[in-house]
Amino acid sequence: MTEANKIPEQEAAKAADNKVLEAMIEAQANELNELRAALKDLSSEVSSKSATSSAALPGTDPEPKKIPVCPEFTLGAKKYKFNVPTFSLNGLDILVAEDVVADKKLLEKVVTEYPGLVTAK
Amino acid sequence: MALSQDITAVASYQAYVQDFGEDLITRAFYMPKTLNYATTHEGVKGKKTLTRLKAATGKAVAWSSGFSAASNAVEFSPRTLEVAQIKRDLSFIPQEFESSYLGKMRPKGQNPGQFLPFEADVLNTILKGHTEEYAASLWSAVKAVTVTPGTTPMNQCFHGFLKLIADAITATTITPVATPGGAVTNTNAVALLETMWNGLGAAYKEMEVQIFMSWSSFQKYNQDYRERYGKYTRLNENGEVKMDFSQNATLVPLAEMGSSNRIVMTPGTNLNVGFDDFADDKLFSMEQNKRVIDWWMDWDMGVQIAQFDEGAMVVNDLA
Repeated sequence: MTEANKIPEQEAAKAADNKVLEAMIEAQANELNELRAALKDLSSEVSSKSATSSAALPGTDPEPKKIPVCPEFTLGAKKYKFNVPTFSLNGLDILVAEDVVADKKLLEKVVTEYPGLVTAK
Repeated sequence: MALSQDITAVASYQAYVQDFGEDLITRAFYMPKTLNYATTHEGVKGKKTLTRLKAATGKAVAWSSGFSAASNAVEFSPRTLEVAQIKRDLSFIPQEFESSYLGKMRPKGQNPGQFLPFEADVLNTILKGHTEEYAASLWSAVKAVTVTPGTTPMNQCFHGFLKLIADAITATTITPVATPGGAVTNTNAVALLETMWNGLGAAYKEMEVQIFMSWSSFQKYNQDYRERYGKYTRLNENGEVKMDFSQNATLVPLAEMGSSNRIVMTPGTNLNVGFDDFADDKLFSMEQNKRVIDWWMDWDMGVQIAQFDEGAMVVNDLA
């Protein structure tokens, strides 16, 4: 084989190698994109899970906490407002002011016997 | 610069022939009795996080060969003790006393002019007054929305125990016991304390518990007890009033609670007081600035309650 014949043959081989390399690069790029997409899904899943777990601290109530309220109520012709959101009459049972406003008998007891719990408006 | 001395009343008395007493008359002062019971923390510069450890119950189960660790068996939660930086500045011009009868208390000569009449007594009285104000702040301080350096008074630089309790009631962290009749009186004080005792955790009933209250509430409890049972209250070996049904619960009247109607039943160690250095607010620095003597002291202080829940603290509903 002459030198002149060798050159086009080598170039053809090089071109074939390049094609193989390009195909490999393209395949790797596709694989990388797939991995990126998978990672994205995974990270969003992880972050959503960590947000949930941080809300549920050990020993705390998993349900959302109610905002404490000192409700107003009318008894007779007078308007009152509770000074505290919760209270106890016997030191043991906890009464929630928001629930007590529905109990007229208890409201009367509060206003007459425990006036410190309310403020007349 | 504002002067700390007011000699208006003594300035016009020197023109008469009369004797002047060589002692000063001052009123009595009270000390921060709370510190006899509270947990104190030194070296707090800014904030100290106290960690609360809570062990869950009901985690022990019937035996089996398998291992299954209990979930959420312990809980750690932070309580922050924050101290505020506070100062007291005073200025005196001793030579100004020369124009009052107190000038006789100064030694002969005008130079140097640093001799302040009754200096030790003045300093002592200021310190006692300071201690009293300090003690009252431990309970009654309410932090201002904006603390202005050099202006905001000490009792508006941090939240005292009473404000912390009021906030805990608002947040339903603690449930107050209703006071019959809406006021502590000499006919209901015993019943109120006995009702509050119901709310104290069983474990605390077996340890030393203090029942902090104003002197007014303390008097009413004693009057009520005397009338109700026809006898005086029981005293422990230290002369403290012991609560019936209890083994170690004592009533602690505190001058520093002022006219508050709040009654606080808790182990005293549950109250936390923070300082940078305990001696900071007991020592004045002094400097002579030409004819003026400047006295000043800087200190940090703040309070926190370690535990409200699980029956560690019981309070009534009055502020």
